[in-house]
Amino acid sequence: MHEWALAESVVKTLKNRKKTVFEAEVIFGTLQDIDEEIFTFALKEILNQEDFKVKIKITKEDAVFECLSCGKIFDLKEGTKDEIEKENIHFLPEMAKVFLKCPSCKAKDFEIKKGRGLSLKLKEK
Amino acid sequence: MNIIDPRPSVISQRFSQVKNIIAVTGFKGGVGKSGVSCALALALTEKGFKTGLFDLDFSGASDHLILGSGKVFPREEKGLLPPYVHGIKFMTASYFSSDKAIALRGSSVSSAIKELFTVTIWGELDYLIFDMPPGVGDAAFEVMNLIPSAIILPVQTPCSLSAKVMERSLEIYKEGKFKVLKTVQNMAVSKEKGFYHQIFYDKKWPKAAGKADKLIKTSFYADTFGLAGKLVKESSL
Repeated sequence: MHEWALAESVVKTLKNRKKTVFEAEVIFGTLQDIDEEIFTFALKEILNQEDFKVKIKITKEDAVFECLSCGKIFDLKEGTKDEIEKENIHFLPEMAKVFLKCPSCKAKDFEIKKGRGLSLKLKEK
Repeated sequence: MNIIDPRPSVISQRFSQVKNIIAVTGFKGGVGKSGVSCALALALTEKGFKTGLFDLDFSGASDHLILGSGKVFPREEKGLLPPYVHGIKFMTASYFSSDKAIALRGSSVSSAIKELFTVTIWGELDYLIFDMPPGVGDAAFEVMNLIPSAIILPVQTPCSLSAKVMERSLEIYKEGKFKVLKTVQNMAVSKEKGFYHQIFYDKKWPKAAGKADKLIKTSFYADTFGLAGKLVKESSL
């Protein structure tokens, strides 16, 4: 249920810009594997306590990594299958660097190019 | 369309019920920041204060080993609730690393700190101790940007090199308008003036690591207990 804390950050950001923002796209990076059902429930509950309305849609962005040793671009299909490791990455996506390796050269020094975790695209007046 | 990281918007709220945040900082590795941080958290707890400890030294995380925290894990409830370890609310990235090495580049350190600042629910605390990594790097800049109320408590050893490196680095905090306390001299071998507090070298301390019942019987802990008393006076609690 730590999705609740992330949903709060989305609502607070929208609240801070409520005079200008009219549409928001919440983007879930697949690396963090946010539970969409829990997040959406939390978002609705928190927004119900606010006095502004914003059109919100949720989209997903696939995680993409670039090895900083050999330059290989890779994705989560070549990542961990271990449930505990997945759970740890869910809580702290940077832990991907502990559990994942470049499929080509096996280095752990890679960059998360896309799809890390939560981000927000806003349409503003 | 602007792409925004929403996490920083709630960070000040997460610390709103924390009365004092003390960032234990040293500018060379091995000066004993983690030992001082853990002993300070234990001492403040013993004095009856609600205390938290956050190990921000991700790559050198050791507070869980010093405290012997065992297999505790944060509980999920509208965020992550840090587990109690010897009465201290304790957060560390080592919960999520399966005890493997955490090697992160600077941008990842910043993002990981923001994530844990966003999702950790500290609740009411009298004192929250940050165990900072050595030097003024990404973790320090994140703390400076996100937690401007943090009080900087520098730690050095009698080694003149550690003192010189620290003098330079403290300027950065002072320029940032942080409250910077006088230095704690750790591993002291003789009484000297000019320090906020001295913690004398205690060969029993490293051997007691991992066993809180033994840690609190060391002279290192007794000295740190004195430091805790000064900090309490300083913060008027």
